[in-house]
Amino acid sequence: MTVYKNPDDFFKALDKAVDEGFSDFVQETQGLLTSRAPIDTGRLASSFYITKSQPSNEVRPADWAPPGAKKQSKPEYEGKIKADGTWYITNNVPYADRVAYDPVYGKNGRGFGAAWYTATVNQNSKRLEDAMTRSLRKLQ
Amino acid sequence: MSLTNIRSLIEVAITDAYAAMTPAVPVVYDNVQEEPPGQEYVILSLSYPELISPVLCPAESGIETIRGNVSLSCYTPRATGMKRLDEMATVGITVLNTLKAQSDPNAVRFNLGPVEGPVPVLTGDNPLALAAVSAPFTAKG
Repeated sequence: MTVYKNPDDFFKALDKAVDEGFSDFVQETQGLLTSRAPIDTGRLASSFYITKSQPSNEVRPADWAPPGAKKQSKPEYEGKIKADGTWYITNNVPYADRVAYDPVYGKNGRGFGAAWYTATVNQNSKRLEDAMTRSLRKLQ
Repeated sequence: MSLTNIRSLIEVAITDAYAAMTPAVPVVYDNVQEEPPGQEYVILSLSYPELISPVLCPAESGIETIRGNVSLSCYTPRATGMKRLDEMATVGITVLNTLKAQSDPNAVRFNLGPVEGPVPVLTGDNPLALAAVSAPFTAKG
């Protein structure tokens, strides 16, 4: 077990562990939404953007891919994700809310069927807890 | 553990609550019918994101915790105002919230988590307006 010679060292290690746990949680959520969303062209599944402080206004173009192409590409966040503010995962595809909340349109979800979105976001607090637990356990 | 008992508890309570509305609102269940039953109805959907949780002690294999997700999608004709949509969403949330205190013949213990919604979905040209409510739950039985 590591012995911290002063409290600052411990709190630095703690901050780092919290940041890593939070970053894992945000990226895992983006990944789950991307992989569980119904897919045809792949525009919706590829349009979950991570941003800090304010929601993204980005969206994949309408001609992202032809019908049936299933072109899936997760937008990578370029910076470092830290637990130091408000973070957003945004999808601006015009039909996103219908596909997320309407079982008629979301029935081909690739995880939990029509409940692909709600079953994912309603488990956020549990997954955040799990990510933090994993990260804090690494503190020696 | 019986997923059937859990589903039964929720479906019966929701069906009864919407049947008591005026006019009564039909409820559509998972894997029952593809065609919507008219212009005003509710789709009830249950899913189970997690059945077994790991425990802290490495020697133990896990504990049984049924974590589920319940979704209610309430439909009414578009351009008829929000009153009916709000009523339908409220009925669903209220009933789910009372289940934790309700005695169940199959001894299912049900606990509802934080409710998301009602989320109105009014964009696009769909002839039906939608209000969606959903919540995580834990259950044993």
